[in-house]
Amino acid sequence: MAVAELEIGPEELLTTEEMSQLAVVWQRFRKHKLAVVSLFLIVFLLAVALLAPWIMPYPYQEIDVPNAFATPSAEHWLGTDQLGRDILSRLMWGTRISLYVGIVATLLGNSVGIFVGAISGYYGRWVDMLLMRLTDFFLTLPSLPLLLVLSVILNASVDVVIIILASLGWMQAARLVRGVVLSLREQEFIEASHALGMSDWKIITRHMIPNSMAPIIVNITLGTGTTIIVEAALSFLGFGVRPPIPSWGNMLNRVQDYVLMNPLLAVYPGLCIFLTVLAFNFMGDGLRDALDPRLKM
Amino acid sequence: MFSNKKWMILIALVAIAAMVLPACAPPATPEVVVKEVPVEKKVIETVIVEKEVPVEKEVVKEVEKEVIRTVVVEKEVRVEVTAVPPPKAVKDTLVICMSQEPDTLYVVTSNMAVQRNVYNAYMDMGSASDTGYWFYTELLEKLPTLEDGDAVLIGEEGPEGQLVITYKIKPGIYWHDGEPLTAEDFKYAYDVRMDPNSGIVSRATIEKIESMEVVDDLTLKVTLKKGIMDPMYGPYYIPEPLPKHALDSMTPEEIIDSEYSRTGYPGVGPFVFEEWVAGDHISFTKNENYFQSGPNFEKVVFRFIPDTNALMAALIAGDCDVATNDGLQVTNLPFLQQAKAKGLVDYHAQAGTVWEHVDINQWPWDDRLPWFAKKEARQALGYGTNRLQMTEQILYGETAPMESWIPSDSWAFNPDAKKYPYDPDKAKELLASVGFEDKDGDGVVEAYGYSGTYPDGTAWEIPDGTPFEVSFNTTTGNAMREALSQILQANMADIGIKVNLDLMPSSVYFADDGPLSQCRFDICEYAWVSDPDPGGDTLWIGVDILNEAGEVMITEQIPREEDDWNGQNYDGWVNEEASKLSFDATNTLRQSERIPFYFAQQVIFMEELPTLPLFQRVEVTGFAPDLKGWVKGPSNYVTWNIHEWYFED
Amino acid sequence: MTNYLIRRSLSMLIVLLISTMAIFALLTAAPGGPLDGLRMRSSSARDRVSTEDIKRLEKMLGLDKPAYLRYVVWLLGDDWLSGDLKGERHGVLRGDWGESWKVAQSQEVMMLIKSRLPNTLILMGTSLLLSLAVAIPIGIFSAVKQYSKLDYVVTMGSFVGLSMPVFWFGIMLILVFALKFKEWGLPYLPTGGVAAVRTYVIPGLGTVQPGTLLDRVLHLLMPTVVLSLLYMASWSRFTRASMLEVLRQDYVRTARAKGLIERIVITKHALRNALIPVITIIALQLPGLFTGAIMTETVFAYTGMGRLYYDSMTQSDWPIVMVILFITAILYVLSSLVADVTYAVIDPRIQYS
Repeated sequence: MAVAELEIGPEELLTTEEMSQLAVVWQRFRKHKLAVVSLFLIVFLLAVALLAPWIMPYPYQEIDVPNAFATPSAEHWLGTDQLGRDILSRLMWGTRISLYVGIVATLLGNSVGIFVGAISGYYGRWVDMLLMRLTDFFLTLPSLPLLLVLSVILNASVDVVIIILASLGWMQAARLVRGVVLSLREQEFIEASHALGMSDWKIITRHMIPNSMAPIIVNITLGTGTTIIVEAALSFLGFGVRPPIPSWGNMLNRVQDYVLMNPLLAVYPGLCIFLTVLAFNFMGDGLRDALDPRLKM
Repeated sequence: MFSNKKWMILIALVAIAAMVLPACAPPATPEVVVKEVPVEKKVIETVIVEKEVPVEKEVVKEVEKEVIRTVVVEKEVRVEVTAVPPPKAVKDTLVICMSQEPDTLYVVTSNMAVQRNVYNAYMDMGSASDTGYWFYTELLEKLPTLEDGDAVLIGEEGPEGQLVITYKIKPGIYWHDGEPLTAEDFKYAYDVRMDPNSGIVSRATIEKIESMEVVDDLTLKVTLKKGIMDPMYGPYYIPEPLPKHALDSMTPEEIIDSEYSRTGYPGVGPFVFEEWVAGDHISFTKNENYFQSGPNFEKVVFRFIPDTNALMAALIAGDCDVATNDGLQVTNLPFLQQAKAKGLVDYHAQAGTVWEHVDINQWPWDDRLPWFAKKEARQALGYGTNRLQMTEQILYGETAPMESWIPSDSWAFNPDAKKYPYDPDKAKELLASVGFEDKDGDGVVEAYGYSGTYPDGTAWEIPDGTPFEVSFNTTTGNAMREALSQILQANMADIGIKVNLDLMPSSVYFADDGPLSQCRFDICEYAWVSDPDPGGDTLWIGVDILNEAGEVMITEQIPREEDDWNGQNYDGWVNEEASKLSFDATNTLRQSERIPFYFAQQVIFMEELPTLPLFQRVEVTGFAPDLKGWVKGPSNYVTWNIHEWYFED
Repeated sequence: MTNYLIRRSLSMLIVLLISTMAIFALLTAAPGGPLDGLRMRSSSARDRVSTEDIKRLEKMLGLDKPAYLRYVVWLLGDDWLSGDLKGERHGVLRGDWGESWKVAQSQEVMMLIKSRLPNTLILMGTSLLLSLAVAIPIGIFSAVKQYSKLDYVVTMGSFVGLSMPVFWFGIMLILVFALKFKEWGLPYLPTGGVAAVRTYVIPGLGTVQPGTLLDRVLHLLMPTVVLSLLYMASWSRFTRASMLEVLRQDYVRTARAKGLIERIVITKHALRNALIPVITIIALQLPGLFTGAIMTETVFAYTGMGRLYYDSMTQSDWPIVMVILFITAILYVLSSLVADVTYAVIDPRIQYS
């Protein structure tokens, strides 16, 4: 009996369901429990950031000087800092700044870097020479005078800080991507794509960039942590958030003078940074696995 | 598989252990600090050995307040040192740790305070701040005074008078290379400083000298210019000597580049230069031919430790015997107290002559609103700022709020001027009395009918309904300033004034085109470094002071573009009577005659409150527990008597 | 190839020239200068600084000349100029690196750098080598044993190292290994510095003389550990990620299918290509051998280039800053070249036309 005479139709012959691209990615991602946990952690942090004004137990700037350095208690779950401000509230408010600056600056910097690196590595010759020398030039610029000059021209708001951080960080991403692309460019499947008539743009976006995502994901993960800490150094100098507005980074900074008597004060914001970076890392792992075209289902 | 898999595990475990171990360190338990408030008497005794030198002035002031500690019995001259118990060579190298490296050892061009700490090792002083509010000398027989006759006033005290001061140098002092110290060395030092290429920063003092004459090997005669009636004629006009025999073959410009500026050799002090390892330490060895007793160490080494916590750790561990006050902060006090209780360190906390204050712009020249042009607004700032809370919390009660721009244990301090205890209700009343009211209920008062005229006659007005909002500037990166900024902001919010904090890096804040130098601020906070002598003319004079002939004795000191931003009266305070009093106080020769001027000026000052004095900075110096002989006062450098220090068994 | 090198060298020189001009412009435009705050340093009469004083000092430092002229003098000297512009400087290109303005008055910048450079090279070099020795094997191991317990432990450890601020970690180390160990009578480490200034006794090791090898090693231990942890964390992550990427490639499966020992599979086939991103990162850290590490040097009072740069920047001592930034620029440009050459060595297919 021929298949064509069976009563089941062609659709039922398919042994697996068809799913959309996104659903495929999500299903793969779900397999990594740790990555899923991390995703929830990040969503939680974002929620805290968004809802902070309503869920903070105290206003972050309310000082209560006689009650400084209080140990954790029912009124202050994490105790108070050197001016009697509630640490938990300040951590919550700090989430807004730190996550915002950390994520946006890193993503912005890496996006710019990815494109510069991909174009540079793919086209080679004078394009590569020009873009790489431009990258070298930016690497040689000293950050502190740059900041001081920019602070005079623009006002030192948080958005300006993000732009500055991005412009100080794109070079590493560019070099990373270019390195991988240089190696990829010579592989046979690229030659095949050329032969098939694929446009340069498609080759870059479909082959080059996805295949160089491994180091980029690490760069973004690590970059979020370092950006948060660099933002702290900047606010120390007077850029970005000014006191009394807290960010995890500047909470860390302020603690420097009291660290010998109250070492715990540094642990709270440090722990937040640690958890955030960890979460991004595991999520990045899961994402890379989920997006990897070579992984079999 | 990897045969070195076990190595991987081991490395990983070691790496993790290294990270985890510090976290397991027993946490420093914060102790409950019981604040004792004794009234401590500190008496400086002078033992007169050879001659009967009448003690010039004894101004005894006992100030008993709740938190003030020291009582100073002042005697002007410290003649000779009592014999020091012979040293037992327990440790023969003294290590002094500072937070910064000196820029040079050449005293003429140096611009750093830390240089002075080192200077006392290889040089001795003609005149320097002592442990009270006056000056002492080591190289001279005594500091000259009019009363003793070694300073002479030719003519009447006033624009026609002229001071002639005679300095007598002690015999028997030798430079490290064996040559004797003579008056020629002091004259040479003056000539070098007068040279336009000497690199000296301030010529304020030497420009007042008309001539300097070497009378004989040990006598120097200084004639000041006519009309200079400087009460500091004794201490200010003896320059620190330079070894003429070693340097006069070079031009003053060449000295800056020479070996001398890198070694300070030859000097006359208790120690002789040994080596300077750039960035790390400077070491000196004992001067066997020192003219005073001591020193009691074979070697002294100055180290540089920039981080405060690291400095404290080094002190407690015994890597440092002294941690100078430029390195330690008042926030280190709780830890030091703990360590002292365990017998690991000793320390000394002292309210110094550096005083923090808030400048209030009452005559803005740009387009900012003159919120504080009326004294009621300034007084409201005074009553509304909880300065006591600042000193209790940020400075651990080691000092009290200042009741004047002069420290309370100085001879010039007037205890009867207006005081500003924390009283927010009174502050609100004062604001209401000049028309401020919060009509829209947002917690910030607005101006109604707030207008007046500036000292030059131009009218000013703040439109009705404008909310009282000002910006507050100070430097970033300073825990004390950040803390007090926020206390002030909260205090002001309580009385209805909105304060926006605008902290900036010091290089921006103190820049020549910065907010302070060009008076572009509403209120700003910073510190003045004062001398033992109160001074105050460039701070408070707001009008040109003329003499009877109509000539200008000193111009108004308000910085403006027309006069190249000269002057330190950043507040823009103009008060003719107070200006005259400031001038008189700094141009009267006898201290007893200056006191009434200072007292009267402070009465006006505290009433008008052009600047809100906050508190004197607490200086903390740390010592090894077995180091004895040191004496620290409000304004001296701790190494001033380094030749008397010794280690106790 | 020579064509490429010539073009490359030329473009590197152009970048350097433009870079020095940009840096000079930034320093000049930034608020603040070496003579700032002099008027406000004291309220006492004898330290008063007037506008004339400031002008006199500016003239001594050469700050009264316009910026472009100062740049030319810095680069080429002014002993070939005529008239009252003539001076004694030879310029950087002829080896005259200038004199410090404030950090160490009138001392030659080169001498200042030479006094700190050996310390920095030793510290940074040791840290880099230690990190290299630990990070790459750990990274490989984590990749090969992905998702094993050890992988997670190592991952967490790396991130602890990254998230901890240097000042906190450094002070905690000093607290434990220097203070507490000494209190408990155990062998202890010094609190900071490059070497001791007087002899000291360590239980178990005996008397240590200042300046000896043992003394310097003891002082080097803690700062090296702190720095290495920072690098290790970052490098092991990049290594792991690249190895994971490469281990999934088809040619690796081919090698495995061919029956090659796992170790050879990894080192001969996978490792080379996986190293490209790692090389990139390490190359970017190479100028650090010269610039040092500011925070670590501060916490451990270690006399190095980082501290010199920081002090000169905060005091606006531009001669020193310009020289340090100039040398750093050269190093960045060279490191870029080193990275490119290494890529070509590792992956012979890569070519630069």
